[in-house]
Amino acid sequence: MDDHRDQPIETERHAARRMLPVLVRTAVFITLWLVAACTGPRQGATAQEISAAVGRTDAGLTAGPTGGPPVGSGAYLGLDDRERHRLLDAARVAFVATTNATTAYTVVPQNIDAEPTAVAATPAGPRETRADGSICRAIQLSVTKQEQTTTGTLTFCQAPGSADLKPATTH
Amino acid sequence: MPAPARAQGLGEALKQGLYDDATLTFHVRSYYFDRTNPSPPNNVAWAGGGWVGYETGWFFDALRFGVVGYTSQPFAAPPGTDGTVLLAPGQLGYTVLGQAYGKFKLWGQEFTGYRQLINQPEVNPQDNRMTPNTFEAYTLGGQLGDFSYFAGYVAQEKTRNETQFRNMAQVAGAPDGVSEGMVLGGLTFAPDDSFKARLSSYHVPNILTSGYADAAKIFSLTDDIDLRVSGQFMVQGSTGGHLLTGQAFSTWVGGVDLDLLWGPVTLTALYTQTGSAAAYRTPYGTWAGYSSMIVRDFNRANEGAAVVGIKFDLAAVKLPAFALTTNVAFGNGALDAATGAPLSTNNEYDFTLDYLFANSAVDWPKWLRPLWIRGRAALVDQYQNGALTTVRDYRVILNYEWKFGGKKH
Repeated sequence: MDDHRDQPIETERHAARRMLPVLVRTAVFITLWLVAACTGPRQGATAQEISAAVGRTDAGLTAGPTGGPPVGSGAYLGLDDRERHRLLDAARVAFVATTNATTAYTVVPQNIDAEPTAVAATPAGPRETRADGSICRAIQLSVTKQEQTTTGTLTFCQAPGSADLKPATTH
Repeated sequence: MPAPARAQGLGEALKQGLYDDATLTFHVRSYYFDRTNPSPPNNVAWAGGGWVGYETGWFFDALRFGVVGYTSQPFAAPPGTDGTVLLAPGQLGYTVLGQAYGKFKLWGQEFTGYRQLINQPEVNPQDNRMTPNTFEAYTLGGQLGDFSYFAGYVAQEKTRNETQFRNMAQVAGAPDGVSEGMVLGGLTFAPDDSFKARLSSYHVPNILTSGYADAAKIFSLTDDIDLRVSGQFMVQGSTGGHLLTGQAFSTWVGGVDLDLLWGPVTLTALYTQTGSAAAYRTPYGTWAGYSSMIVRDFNRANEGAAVVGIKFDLAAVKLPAFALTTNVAFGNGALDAATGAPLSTNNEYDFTLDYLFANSAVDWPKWLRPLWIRGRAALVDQYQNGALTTVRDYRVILNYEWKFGGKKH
């Protein structure tokens, strides 16, 4: 939003007294978050490998309307958690596709003014059964984020009896 | 991967930096803005323009330079409907050198000097018109393990439709003659893919000081469904000689945001509350509060805002390339902090429809694939003293970008 309004006033002492309990609660809140983050489960290699396949560093999730790392840092073009999820969803469709049609999804960011990210997956070869019984297929992945398109090809494999799709190699 | 420039001769390094690794960008934007206010004048304009930028590669893996020129020109701009912020006052076109910077990189840390973009919670491009905010600043950013940092001194800012850079006191609205810069610093902690926390601070001596913190964590509920829980808190007050208004003031905002992420759908529910002592000021960019909507920020003194929303990738209903975003905000409790008098109770209904040619099922020519079209509609209902007034806001935005490079591209 872009309107600026005249601001009313209050003495700093008054406001500080009123804000103290809020500040204490916020400090506790942030501490709990940090503890949760440090002790929580870590994500597997899949997300990292998908990021690598499309040549983007991992920026973690983008929180807040103006989220994102500093401009100029390599992480600025990274995929967030949502974008990686949708890219993997597209890869799942491409893995079982009977044609070479592209599956494309649109990811709207949290920042309401930012451009949506386009993610797409296209079969880059036939499905093959390997000696261990797993079924594999090369998938071309593409991401257009912040006006930059990057592509890469990743071979995904499905173990016998499993519904999980896991990346095998990066080309 | 190119050979390290350090091992090359000067001529080869110049060729690599000025051509092979350099990037030339043309960004074209068309923006139609039509806002009907409760009382005249309305704000209507159609503008075209964008920017042209050139950035060198890294010389000796340590130095790079860039310039970006921005322009916005009127296509249709009736003289009686000024105020869209697409054009300069008077519905006039403008052109400005918004970025002109040098970067110095050492051990992965980057120093950037002079005109540049900054993207921090309270100092940011606010790129929701024709051209963004840019800043004359001297900044350092980089990553250290799970932490990334950003710090610097911002001398001046060019707001979206201005052609002059003004000092940070003037941008905040200080009386003529008051001149101050800003010191800012920010720290981001992102130990893994599912968690991120940020802390930042902004200080303009004698004018305004702010602190901002947020954190977000993603929990996997099932293989297909995630829950993102986010919280934010920010404080702000006058400082030093209180030169902004001549008197001391301070306030705060807290917010909680829950997002349910399931395939093509994201459901959002959030709440923010602003302290009763003053409204939260946002002179240096888009407000970072979760309840920042298309037309209104719900950050007046004592204002609470509940927002529900949905983001829907319409590929799920056989309409690939389309995405629909809707948010509805219900405000309450806003006061004039000086008098304690109630202000209007505002509700806002936002709709955004995006179409990305890159994702279309239609086999568009390759040159059309960078095109992105966005349509927006926003309705604000304002209730006060038993009366209802309404703001209607419609926008159509086109973006198209070419990037050219040397051998690298």
